[in-house]
Amino acid sequence: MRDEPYRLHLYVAGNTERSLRAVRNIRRLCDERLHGNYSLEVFDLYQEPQLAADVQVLAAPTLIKLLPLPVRRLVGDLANRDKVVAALGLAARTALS
Amino acid sequence: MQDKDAEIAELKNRLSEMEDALQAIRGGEVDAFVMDGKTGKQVYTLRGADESYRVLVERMHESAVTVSSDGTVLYGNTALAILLGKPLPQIVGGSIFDFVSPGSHAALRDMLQPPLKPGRRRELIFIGAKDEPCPALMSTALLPADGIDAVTAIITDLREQRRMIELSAAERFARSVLEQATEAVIVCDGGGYVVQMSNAAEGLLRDVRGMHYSDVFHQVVDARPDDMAPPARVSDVVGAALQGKTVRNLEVTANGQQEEFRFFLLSAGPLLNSHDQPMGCILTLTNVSDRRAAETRQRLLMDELNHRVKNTLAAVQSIASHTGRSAPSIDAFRHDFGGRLLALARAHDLLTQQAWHSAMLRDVLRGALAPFLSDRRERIRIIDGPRIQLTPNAAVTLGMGVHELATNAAKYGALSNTAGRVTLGWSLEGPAAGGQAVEIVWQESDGPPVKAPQRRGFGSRLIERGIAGEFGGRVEMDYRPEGFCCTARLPLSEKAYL
Repeated sequence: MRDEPYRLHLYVAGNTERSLRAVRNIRRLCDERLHGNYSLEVFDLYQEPQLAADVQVLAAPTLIKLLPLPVRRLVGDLANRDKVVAALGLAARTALS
Repeated sequence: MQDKDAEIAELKNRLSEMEDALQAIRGGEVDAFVMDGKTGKQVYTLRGADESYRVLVERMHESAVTVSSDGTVLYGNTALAILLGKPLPQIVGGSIFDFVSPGSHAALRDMLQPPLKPGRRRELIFIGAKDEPCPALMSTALLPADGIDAVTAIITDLREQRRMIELSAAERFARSVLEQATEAVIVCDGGGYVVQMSNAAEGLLRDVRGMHYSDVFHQVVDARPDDMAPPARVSDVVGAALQGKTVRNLEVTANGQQEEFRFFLLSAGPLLNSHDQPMGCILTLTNVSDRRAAETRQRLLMDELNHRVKNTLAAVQSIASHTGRSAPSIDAFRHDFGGRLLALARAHDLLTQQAWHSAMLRDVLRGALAPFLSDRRERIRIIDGPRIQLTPNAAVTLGMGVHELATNAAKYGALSNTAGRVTLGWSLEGPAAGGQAVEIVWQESDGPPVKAPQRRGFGSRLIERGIAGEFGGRVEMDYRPEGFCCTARLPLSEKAYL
């Protein structure tokens, strides 16, 4: 049985250092652990500031895992891989597979 | 229990404070954050000194992209989204190789070869909206803060530049076609101002670049359009072409190269842009001034011919009537009438050679005597005098008169025997300052005894009155015993001139 695909939204602030790191880190993690079974969309709050209010983002970068449920939010540059893996529920998934 | 309640109350307060703080941040009530940095607390302003640079990067026409060495797009500006024809969320986080044509992958890999550094430039083919290939120049500009293995690059869309090069080449091509065209071609812009013209057109008109067509062409002389409603003005013709219609062969007038008035056949068609929308018009001209002049001349000639035919018929009628009155028999009538018609015809022949402008006195006299010269060449002597020109009517009258003199000489005078002679000559008499006259002398000798005629026939009247009347001069006929002599003294005038 194939795992439910991940749907991830990352909110960044232009090309600031932490935003760049966040994009690179989540992309690497996804490539290594989800093997293409995901969609990642990166939103620039500078270009679309109204998004921050719409999705109640307080700071950038913020990663929101929309699927699989439950919805989880993670603020920061996603450099702490263990924390990200735990938050996305990937540890359990790896153990199962 | 009291302690727990107090702790709960304290926690509620702190939660409330935090919620208030968050609300303040969310509501835009703060302009800076204080955070822990490597060297203690650091203040991060929400609108810092780099705000203007960030706005510049966001709004510039060139694409900006931050890409890691493995090709992950970490950042892109709005221009990048436009270049690639996709929303940024679908670009950032993806691989830049997905947006570059496979043929450019090697060059791109070369650019992202570690260690990344600024100053690398490559021309790459990106994949734009609807998979359109977009040639662009990518140049690495700066490296982000330490610790990120990425580089920011500027991508310059070369499509516009290529289009300009192609346009420029197309324009050079069009200009050279125009310059070499043997047809007179004029190109107007959408406002009707002349922007280009062929050398041939410049030869016909003059350099009218920059002028409005209505100042170049004056009026439609003759409307011969292919479609039904004939346009009455040049503005209608050019206006129709500017709206995409084609109008052919309207006759118009314009000032020619030497400011002379000239006639042209004008055809007009739209000049279309790459979307097939009219952006001006193309006018072609054919110079029909010569044809027009020929038509005018032909009309004049027809009128003149009509006039002459009437005059000639009147002359023939008069000759027939007078010849009939004096002819003793039908045979005599036939002979005399035939001779006179022949003399008339010879005078006409001479005039026709000169397009009925004039005839030379010398040719008129020799022509009239020609029928008599064949077997009496040695007995008729013509002494040429000065060159005198005669108008058509004067030439006919004089030719007919000389014919009558020769006929009389052949019947009764010096040419009626075998030994007689005739001398015909002319000279200018009188002061050169005015009052000059040409004196024509017909002198017979060695003929039979001279007798003045019993009655004046047609010939005598023609000579005495006809010639004198036509030229406003004087004619004397002297039947002297040694030989008949006729002297005509004709003043120089517009009918007989040097």
